[in-house]
Amino acid sequence: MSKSVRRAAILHFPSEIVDKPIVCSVIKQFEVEVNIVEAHIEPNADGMMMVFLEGENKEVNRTINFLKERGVKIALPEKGVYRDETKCVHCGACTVHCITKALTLERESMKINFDYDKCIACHLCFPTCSYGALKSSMI
Amino acid sequence: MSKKKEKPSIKRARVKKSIEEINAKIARGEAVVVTAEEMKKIVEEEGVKRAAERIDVVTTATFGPMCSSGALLNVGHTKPRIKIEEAYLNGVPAGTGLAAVDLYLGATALRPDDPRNRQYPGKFEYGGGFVIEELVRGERIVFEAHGYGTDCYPRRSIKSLITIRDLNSAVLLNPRNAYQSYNVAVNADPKRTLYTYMGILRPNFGNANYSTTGSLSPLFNDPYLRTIGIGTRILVAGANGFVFWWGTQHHTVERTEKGIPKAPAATLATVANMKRMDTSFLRGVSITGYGVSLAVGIAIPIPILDEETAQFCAVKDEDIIMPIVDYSVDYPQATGKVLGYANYKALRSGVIKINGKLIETAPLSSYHRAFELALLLKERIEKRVFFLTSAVERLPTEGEDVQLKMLKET
Repeated sequence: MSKSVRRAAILHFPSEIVDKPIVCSVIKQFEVEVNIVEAHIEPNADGMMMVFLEGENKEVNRTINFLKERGVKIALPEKGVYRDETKCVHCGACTVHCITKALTLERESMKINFDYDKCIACHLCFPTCSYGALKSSMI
Repeated sequence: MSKKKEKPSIKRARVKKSIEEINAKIARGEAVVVTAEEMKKIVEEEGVKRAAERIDVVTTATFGPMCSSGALLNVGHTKPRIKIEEAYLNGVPAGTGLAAVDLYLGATALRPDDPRNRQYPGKFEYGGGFVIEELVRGERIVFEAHGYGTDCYPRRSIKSLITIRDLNSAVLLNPRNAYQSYNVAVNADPKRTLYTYMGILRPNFGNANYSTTGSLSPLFNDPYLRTIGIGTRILVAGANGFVFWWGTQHHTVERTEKGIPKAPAATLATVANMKRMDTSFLRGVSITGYGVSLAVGIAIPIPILDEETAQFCAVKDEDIIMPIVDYSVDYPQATGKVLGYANYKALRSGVIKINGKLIETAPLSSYHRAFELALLLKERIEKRVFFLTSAVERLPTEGEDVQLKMLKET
């Protein structure tokens, strides 16, 4: 019996497969709950979807493999958002808008810490950064 | 310093140092320079008198978006000559109305085709602040200008690629920097998110944004402007510069017992050579829904002339209180209403209380970057490449010059 997990994933659908019912197949074939947080799907264009996959670890991994086989590119959240260190000035404007507390102000050094493990790539921080330091690595 | 122990009578005498004496110590490499952060601890541990005797200079700094900033550029004459009436740098319009090839590029200037807030909230991806940063970086800028043609300036237009090295002068000439205290911005609207120059404010007091480096900030360490005045040598974005006037909207407000103003008050007009600046301390910024601006780092040395200057430099975060202002109604409608006060220590802790509700806070100024600039100034003084100046004239603290007026409709 493998343990139950909840993993955030950013799914990138190349335009060739954007019309295929892939998520539907996942729901039918796998014992996982798919919670769609955000989706940008349009005909004939690359699509993206941010999901939480919840279920037994083994089943979630099988789901991810299935998605990969169908041509979906999967990015883990830590690869979905990154901080451009040359641009960040460590002000802290982002911290108050980070719902998972991935971005926090270290009170001693007054520097901004980015805990990638906590990031769910919700992108709420993007408009809060005046310095253009928080970026999406998705194309 | 050993003399004091021999003569107890001197111990009672008040500390009195001149800027000339401090400069002589800097020249000999004997000056004791500390950051404002260190000074708090020194005064606490050693007392004001001993701190005033031992410490010669305290370095203070701030770093954050300062909209009233801009570049005064002389682009050089062309062959044949042109009297510029309209000018663009990377498409961003610069102010003319000066002599033939003198321009002023404001930090908040936008390209004519910028979508602004047409798709709300606007992104404001490029503008004056970015051009200034790119100039300082040494990048090439597309320059375009037009004139109407005269006998002495016959040319009608010019297009060229320029870098800062091609310019006769590139001076950052900022009408208002380093605000002494500032509003803590909140949003009392029950539903609407606000996109302000104080950042994104979530509805129903979702967050509180503030912009100051608190007890490290220059004008909190010299609240009565006893040493900072016209002609004070400072660091602007890493380059030597000066305070050339009091900043626009410089005014006086009610103070706490310790002399800390309870609202935005004094401001400084600053000037420095862009050719010597460092972009670590100068950045174009895109403020969602508001516009473009320029983040500027300013460091100011405070000479410890007597016990009073030492005492003022011992100001603590908890001594600094700032007004909480609602940006859904009170700020835009200029009602003058203040919801309460928050002290900087609480703001920096990450949570403040308004009407019994705990509200998360976020800074817009970078304490970290400001502290680096304070350290840089300390290092320059210790290396004997930065000397202090006496103010040529003090900044006004009373009278007509410190009244803040509103523009009335007629």
